[in-house]
Amino acid sequence: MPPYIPRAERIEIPDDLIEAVALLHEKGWTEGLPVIPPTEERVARMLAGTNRDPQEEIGVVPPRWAPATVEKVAINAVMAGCLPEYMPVLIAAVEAVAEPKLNLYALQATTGGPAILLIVNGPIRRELNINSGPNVFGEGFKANATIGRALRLILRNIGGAYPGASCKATLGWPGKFSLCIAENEEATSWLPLHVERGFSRDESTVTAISVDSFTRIGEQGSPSAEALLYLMVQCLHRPGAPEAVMVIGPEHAQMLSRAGIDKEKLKNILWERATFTWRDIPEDLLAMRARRRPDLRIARDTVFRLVDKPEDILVVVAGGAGLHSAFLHVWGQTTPTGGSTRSVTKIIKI
Amino acid sequence: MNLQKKGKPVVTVLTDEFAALAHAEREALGAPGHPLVIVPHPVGSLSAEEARARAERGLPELLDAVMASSPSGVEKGRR
Repeated sequence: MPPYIPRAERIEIPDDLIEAVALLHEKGWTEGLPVIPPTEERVARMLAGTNRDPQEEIGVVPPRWAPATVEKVAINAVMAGCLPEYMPVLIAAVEAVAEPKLNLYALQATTGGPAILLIVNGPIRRELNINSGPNVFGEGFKANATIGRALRLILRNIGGAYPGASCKATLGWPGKFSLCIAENEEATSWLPLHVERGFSRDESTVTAISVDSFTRIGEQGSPSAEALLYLMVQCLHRPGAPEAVMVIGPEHAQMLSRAGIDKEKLKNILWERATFTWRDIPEDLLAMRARRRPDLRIARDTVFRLVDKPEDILVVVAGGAGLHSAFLHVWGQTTPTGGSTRSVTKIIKI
Repeated sequence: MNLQKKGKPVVTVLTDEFAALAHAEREALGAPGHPLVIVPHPVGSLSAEEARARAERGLPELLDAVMASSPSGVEKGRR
């Protein structure tokens, strides 16, 4: 590994931890929570988690369009509380968000306030204890909490997305603090997301997708797969996004599996049934929808789908015991060319 | 900005809410002189009549900016 010669700006920090953290808050380098001061020694230790050259550029992060070097990624990883072993996941996550089709500039600057959901697949979930089980979206799991948080700090500190100034989120939502889950591949016979996307089971990947809200689906004791599908469709109430995310709890996945439904079938069923018509829609809104999608020739009796194609619905199995799933609405708009944002999956190179 | 590089006159119209972002952005993209025409926020919730009135008020400034941005319009813009 090349020796670490710091290139990032260096400042003197007070010896007292509380004072040092206060200084980092004052500098605007935190998201509001205390961070670990990224001293040279701590950054060097973080860099031991990767073979990449500290000055290698992983991608460019808007709206500042600043290069995310491995060193800068490591600095933010230290601040977020990551372990060095998480570096390969973070590097792949930065590669994913820098991919043009995700349209990170829009995600960072929009009033819509989306978060970026990271979905980790493959053996690395086990190696790093990335939670795919109980409370998968909640607190309590170091890898999930700090990887998601580090990405947010990267988007802020490298990308320069400052709320109120360059990040124009009207509301934002708590997912913007940290949003990283793993797929519970062991709890289902369904194909994992990365295998669906052409990777092998023994490869590890991270998928980035822009989501702006979370809707839990399920009623205790849903009596049948058919009843569950009905409840799911009831929650799919916002057409017009480029993609959609369904996180299926393992018990729901088993229920559906027993009824002969796999991921592909589930996508087709949800796509078939979650339909919208414009009969009672106000004139101006109809006109706006029609302007956005001239290719669909939208009229009052047009049947509109949640997303353009069944495969635009990402299905991921995650969570613990209990009859619950979730729909995560994707920020952005459907367009004739695939949408204003698209999810990106990148391989994690150890 | 890509259009501008091709010699087309380009002006970015935005509301004052987005001014800080636009100023930072044109610096970041290496075009600090990129012309901005800034109108009051909001516009998304205006009625058609209000939007038209707002546009008419902003038109002279917009035209000046376009003329100044146009390679062939520079002289006229400076008249």
